Formats: sequence, C-alpha cells, structure tokens
Amino acid sequence: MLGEFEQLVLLAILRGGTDAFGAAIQREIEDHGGRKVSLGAVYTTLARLEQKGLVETWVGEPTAERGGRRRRHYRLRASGRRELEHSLATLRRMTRGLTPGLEVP
Amino acid sequence: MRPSAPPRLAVRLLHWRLPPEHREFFLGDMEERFYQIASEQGDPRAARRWYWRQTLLALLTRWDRRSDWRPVPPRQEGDELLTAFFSDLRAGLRQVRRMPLFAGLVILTFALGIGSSSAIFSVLHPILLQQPPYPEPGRLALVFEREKDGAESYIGYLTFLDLARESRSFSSAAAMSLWQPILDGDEPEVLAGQRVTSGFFSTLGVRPALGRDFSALEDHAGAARVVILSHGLWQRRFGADPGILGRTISFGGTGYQVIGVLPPGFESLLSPAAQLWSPLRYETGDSWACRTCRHLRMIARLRPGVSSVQANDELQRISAAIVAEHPADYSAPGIILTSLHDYLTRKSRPLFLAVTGAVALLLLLACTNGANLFLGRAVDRAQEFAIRAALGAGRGSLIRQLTAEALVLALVGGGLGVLVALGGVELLARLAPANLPRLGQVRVNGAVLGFTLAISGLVGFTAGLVPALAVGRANLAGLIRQGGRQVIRGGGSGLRRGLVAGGVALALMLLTGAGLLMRSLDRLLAVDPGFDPRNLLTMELQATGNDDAAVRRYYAGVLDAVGAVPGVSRVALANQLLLSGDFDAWGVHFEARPAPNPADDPSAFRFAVTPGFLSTMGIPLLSGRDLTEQDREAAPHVALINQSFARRVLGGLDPLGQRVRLGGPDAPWVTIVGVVGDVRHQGLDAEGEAQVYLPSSQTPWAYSRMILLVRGTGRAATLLPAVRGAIHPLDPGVPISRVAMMADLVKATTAQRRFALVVFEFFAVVALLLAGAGLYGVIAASVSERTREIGIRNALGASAGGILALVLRQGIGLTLTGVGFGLGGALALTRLLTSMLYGVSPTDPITFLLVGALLMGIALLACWLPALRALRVDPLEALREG
Repeated sequence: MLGEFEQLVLLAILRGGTDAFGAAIQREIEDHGGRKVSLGAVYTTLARLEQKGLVETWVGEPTAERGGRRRRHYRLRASGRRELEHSLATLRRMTRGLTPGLEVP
Repeated sequence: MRPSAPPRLAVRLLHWRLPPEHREFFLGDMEERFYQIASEQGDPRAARRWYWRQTLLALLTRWDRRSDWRPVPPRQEGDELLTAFFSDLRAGLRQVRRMPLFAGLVILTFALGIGSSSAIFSVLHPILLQQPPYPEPGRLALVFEREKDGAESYIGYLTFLDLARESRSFSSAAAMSLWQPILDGDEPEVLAGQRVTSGFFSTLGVRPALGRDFSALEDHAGAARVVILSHGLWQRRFGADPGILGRTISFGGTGYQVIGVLPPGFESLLSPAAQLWSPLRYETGDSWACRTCRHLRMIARLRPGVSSVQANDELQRISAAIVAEHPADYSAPGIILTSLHDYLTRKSRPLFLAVTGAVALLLLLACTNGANLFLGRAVDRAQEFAIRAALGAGRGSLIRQLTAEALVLALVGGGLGVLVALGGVELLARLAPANLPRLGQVRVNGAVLGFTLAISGLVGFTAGLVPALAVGRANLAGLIRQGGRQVIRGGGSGLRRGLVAGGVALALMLLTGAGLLMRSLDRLLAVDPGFDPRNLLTMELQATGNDDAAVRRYYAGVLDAVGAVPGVSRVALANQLLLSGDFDAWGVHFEARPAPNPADDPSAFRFAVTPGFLSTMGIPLLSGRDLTEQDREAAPHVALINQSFARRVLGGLDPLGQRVRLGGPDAPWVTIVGVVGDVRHQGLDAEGEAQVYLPSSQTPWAYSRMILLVRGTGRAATLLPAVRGAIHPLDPGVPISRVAMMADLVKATTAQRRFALVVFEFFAVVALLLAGAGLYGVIAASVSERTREIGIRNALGASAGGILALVLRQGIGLTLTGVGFGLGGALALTRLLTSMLYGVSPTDPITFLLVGALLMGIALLACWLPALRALRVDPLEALREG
C-alpha cells in the first residue's frame, strides 16, 4: 500500500506525461490537487519511490533558465503503475457504500 | 525584462542544506519555477516570496529519512546530534503553531529587544569596534605636545620636524592643517581640504588610484602648486574626467596642477569633510612655522615591532632635549601619543558607554520576560511533560525540547528584529550627532546580521534554559498523580516572581537614565548662552581680494549693502562663529599680571569683530565702551574682555585701561576699553571661558574668511534671499557657505545628548511595556490559580475591597521589591552617565522619585485587570471546578 503523498506524486507524474520533474510535479499537485506542498517534500518522496523501484529517472541537458543546471526527469515503471492502481482500488473498495461525501468513484 | 535573480542568501542556504544527490536538480527546479512565477504573476516579489518559503521548508525537510524497509546506514555522531537538533526545532515550530498568542507575545518581546540592540550595534560597529580603514591601522598614532596642565596641544612645524627626524620609532610621519580653498568658476564653492606634508598619504598607507602621490620636492615654498582630489570631488565637479591628471585648476585665482585622484573607498577620517589635499609648503624660516605656532596635527606610523610604550618613552626623551634647547617656547616637556583609533573614538566614548549600557539592560529585560513567559507556559503544560516523562522522555530531552522551543521563538524574533534594526538604523543615523566619525558606514551588514543571530541564540537559550531547568528539577514522576500544577509551581513561581521583580528593576534603571538625560537636556537648553540666538542669520564669506585693503574694503561694502536690506535690524562680521566649533585661541599677556614664562600666559578665544558685533549678537556691555567706527587701524589699539576672564586674571583690579598683548612678545599692546558679558563658545556647558574682542580693523592682517551675522526684525530665515542678493553684486566670485540660523546651531551643540536621550527614551518605553506585561502575566496567572480560594472568600462574604487588596498587594509587593533593587542598580549605573549630564546629579532625587512613581502607576495598571477578574469570580462556579 502506498502512502497518501506517494499516491499524489505518482498521479502527478502521470498527469505530467513525459515531462515530469520536481517542480512540475509540485505544480501539478498544487494546481490540480489544490494542495500546497513543499518542493522538499516532493523530492524526498521521489527519492523514496525510486528506492522502492516504482519510478525510473533520467537526467536531461543543462539549460539557461535553470542557471546551467540539469533536470532530473521521472517516469512511472510498470510496478509503479501497478502499485498505484492497487492502492486506488483498495481505497475505492473501502469507500463503496459509504455516505456520498466519502465515496471514491 | 528579466526579473532579478533568486535571492542569493536563500540559494546559499539551500546549497548548504541539500544533500549532494539532490542539490543540482533541486536548485535548477527552484530557479526555473522562480522565473516562471515572476513572469506569470508579473511580480518579482511574489517569486522571491515563493523562493524563500520553499527554502525555509527545505531547510526543515528531513532529507536523511530512509524508507523503513532498508537497513539504516550507520551515521556519524555529529550528524545524529544535528538531526536531533533539527527535530527539536521542528517540534518547537509545531508548539509555536499551537499557541499563537503566547508565541506572538514572546516573539514581540524578543524582536524589540534584539532589534533595538542590533540597530545600536550597527551604529557602534564601524565607529567603535572596527579599526580605521587603512593598512595596519594599529600602527598609526597621533602625536601631540603636552602642556604644563597635561592638556594636549597641536604642534608647531619646527617641533614636528625635530620629532620626525630624531625618532627611531616612526617609519614615517606627516603634519597637516586645514585648507579651505575656493574653487573658481561660475559657481564658486568653498571646499574643505587639508594641507599636508609630503609623507601624509604614504603614512596612512594610501596610494592615489589615478596619478601619483606628492613628492618631497613639492613640499617647499617655491615649488609648483599641486593638488590631489578625492574620488567624490573628481566625480562631482570634474565629471570623472580620466584626463584630469596634469590639468590646472584655479583656487582663489591661483592655479594648482592635479597630480592624483584617490581611490573611491578612501575615507578621510582625520578631516571628514576633506575633498582635496595640497602640500603644506612650509619653510623652517617662515613665521608661521615657529615652535609656538601650534596649529598642526601630526600623524605617524610606528615601525613594525616598535610598541607604543617604546615609542612613547623615546618621544619623551626627545621632547626633553628639545625643550632644554628652546625653554622659552614650551611650557613643559612632554608628548602625548594616541592611537588613531582612540583619537577618533574618544569623543563619542561616553555616549557609547551609556548607550551600550542601555542595550545590555534591555536585552537582559527581554531575556527575563521571555523566561518568565516560558515559565508560565511550562506550568500550564506540566501535564504534557508528565506524560512525556511517563513515556520515557529523559530529563535531558525535556530540557532540550523546551530550550529548542525558546530558540525557535528567539530566531523568529531575531528575524523580525532585523526589520526593527533596519528602521532603527535609519532613524539613528538621522538623529546621530553630525560629528560622529564614519556615520556614512553605518548600515545593517553581515557583521550586524551575525550579531543579531548570535544574540538571538543567546537570548533564546537563556530564556529557554531557566524554565527548562525548573521543569527538569520538578519531580516528574509525581506530576501525573498530582494533576501537574502543584509540583512545578513549587519551584517555578518563586523564580517567576524573581524574574518579574528583576524586570521591574531593569525598567527602573533605564527609566532613571532617560529621566536624568531629559532633565539635563532641559537644563542645558535653558542655559543662557550669553547672547540672543533668536532671529539671527549667519553665513560665512570668503573674500577674494589680494591685499588687506581690498579685503577690508569688500567687507565694509558687505556691511553697508546688507544693512540696507529691509527687515535687517543689525549686521556685523566676526572671524569666528559662536557655538559652531570654530577655535581661534591666543595666549594673552597681561601687563599687570605678567607670567614668568610667556608660554604660561592664559589663553583666550580671540574674536576679530566689526563695531556692531555686541548689539547684533545681543551681548551686554557691562562697563566701559563698545567698539566704534573710530577704532581704526591707525587709532590706539583697543579690546573688549569678558567679565569672568577679567575677574580670574585681574582679581580686584579694574580691567578698564589695563593693557594686554595677544600672541608673541612682538605683538602690540592693546588697551581694554570695555567689559562684556560671558558667552558660551565651545558648548552650552562651557562655563567661564575666556574671550577677547578686537576691532577687525586693528588685527595685524585682514581676515579674508569672515562670518556675517544678520539680525532680523522678524524671522531672519526669510531674509536669506535678499541678503544673498545684496552680497552677490559686490563680488560674484565670493562663495557663501555655512548658512545657518543661530538658534539651530545652538540646538546642534546638544546633538550628542539628544541622541543618547532618544535611545534611552525608546528603550525606557519598551522596558516599561515589558515590565508591565511581565507583572500582568504573573498576577493574572496567580488569580487563575487561586480562582478556588477567591471563590471561597467570596462565598464567605469577603468584601470587594478585600479581594482587590488581596490581588493588588501581591503586585505591589513585587513592584516594590523590583523598585528597591532597581534603585540600587540605578545608583550604581547612572554614574556611567555623569559626563552626559548637565546641572543634574546622577543621584538626582526628583528624577528617582518621579521614575519610581511612574513605575508604580504602570504596575497598578498591570494588576488592575486581573484584580477586576478576581472580583467577578462566581463562588459556585469556582467551587464546582475545583
């Protein structure tokens, strides 16, 4: 089972497509999830997800708007996708039949 | 347009805190988002705010947390401590969020204390603590002659040459005097400068950024005139022209070739307004180079390895030999050697001593109040501590946690304090007396931030440790059983009362200081300066004429022209301006009271004035006659003398008709024809100075620099344009400078005291607030602890007055204890203020009484509110709760 924040990060990576990286993930969560998160929290979670083997990463080219620094990109691995589906399904099952406000469709 | 880059400090902090594997990507992300936010919101400030927020969060992020399914790698001891520290800080932050009101109060207390001391520190730092900005500044020293009475005096050129030649202790030495050339042009301007011997800049260790230093050959009467400019003057008047070297500039009709421009960072500490330098060009035979012509300041650089004690010993020996050779020229042998740093700071030292004392008191008070608040908080949280202890938290970890909480609040308070300091520095720099050295260097810089951080840590640590130790000492095991409160109260409340009483004592000490300074300033401003400063416009003129006759003609024209301006009632000229730092003192030889050695003659301020001077200034003529137009150059030479000088030297002799000589033995005798009232020239607190007034027509040479004094029938300030208009056509090349109202000049002489007063007043108000808040806190806590007791008393029919008295008695007891200790402390500490006081003794009973009363009033107010609450305690409710 994934932690709640891990789920949010994995979902944000999915929404970001191939261009997912730290700041973009943070932005996805803030814009679509409506929740303020710190970049630091995103980074530590990404590191944990990578350790668990749920995401894979590669390093891009340095760019000027980043002050000549490189970007680290993230993509879900198959195992990550499975974990995410599993977690959400568990949630869905647990909420089925509860009052409308609690149900996860 | 590209917005400003991410805040550098934040980037630095991140760089330090981020683990290396994340560093590059994290910083890159931050920068990318920073520019995005700036362009999306069109507001670089929003981006900066975002950057700082993320930085702070990242600083608190636990970067080392590993997922639990992996073995934890072994860590270093130091690393663990750091982790524990950060975890305590995080816990502290959580606590702060849980109790915003309490936290706000503590943070405010700390911000005021830390902020105002940081502001003071930023003023003190460049002036008092930093060495002068020259290479190896510790080896620079000023050299003065010592007079018979131990006073230091400037030195004559021949003495300077002897010392510089004979001394083995100096690697170089230089002499300097003031120079006020007029820069010719469409807008003639009087510039401040120095005339210096050729070794001046090399002694300081400064080299021109452009061009070259003076050569020894240029320091002679016949040599071509050359000048070195400050960077500021070069930019302001010459458009930073790189081709300035070799150009000739005209000063008062004389050409000077520019040979150098100083570097932009050069600070002229020995003559703060100086913008240009030219060689002194004295020859040993010049009449103004004589041994008694003591008008030069000497600076020297000690040879490496020579201590100031060695140098001093050697100089005394040389001086003794010089005096043995020329006994008539010196009152006594002796040289005074003062390090440059001491020389620059000594005038401001009493001020800084006082202000630093005030800062220390306020900081101590902030600590006391913080500790007090924490202690109160700890009592409320006793239950929490008991549970933590039951769950296995050791005494050490509880102490650590409490201290960390205090530290968090102190750091936040320190952060706010920086804002207080930023505002305070601006205020202080504006209020500071203009003669403080290096005022331009006063700003909140790295050193100040370091100081703020250090005292934040210190204050937080102190304020947290005291209550933490009290909690640590409490019997934690017993806490749960007893419901918490009692155990800590036993140890805590005595301490709390002590802290509150201490706060009251500190506040009293600050208030006393403020009160004494306030009364001194009142006394000082009430002093009669001996003349009437109201509606008196003053300005300095510098005539351009080549000979004495032309200069005198010019000034006669000025008097006529200005006298004809409507609204001008009187006008006069003088060679020096009262109460404005002018210093022209001459030895006075009384025919009736000759001193065996001319060097022992008393010295007096010598004013060369025009006949209308007394009536223009409003100085009373006590006996004899005023100077008149008949006192021409060819007429018998006459003088006026002030009353206390005449009485001091002549005793019972009638001064009228006595003859005196000003200057050396070849000066003419002049007859005293009038006695006038004393005026205060060096400061409002300068009593019994000696003054002699001569008709400016009878001085050996005409002064080209004169002060014009204009008394108006109404507000003299409005006369300025008309007066200027009257002077200008007489000679458009004459610059007008130092325009001021005499009343403002009088006020400016009190600037240093005023500055100290403002600091003390501000600190005293803060201290009153803090002390009041501390009292309120303790009494309120005590009322809420005794709710049940008060309820029972109510139920048993205690009168309202009785209950009120019960509560007030406690507050008043605390206050009286504090006042008692405070009076003792104030008696001991106000002595430090003595040199800042005037007309008030440091133990002035009225001040002490008033201050004590004020404090009692505030204390009553602070106890009144909790007392009212005690009155409203409902007996039933109180009993049920218990």
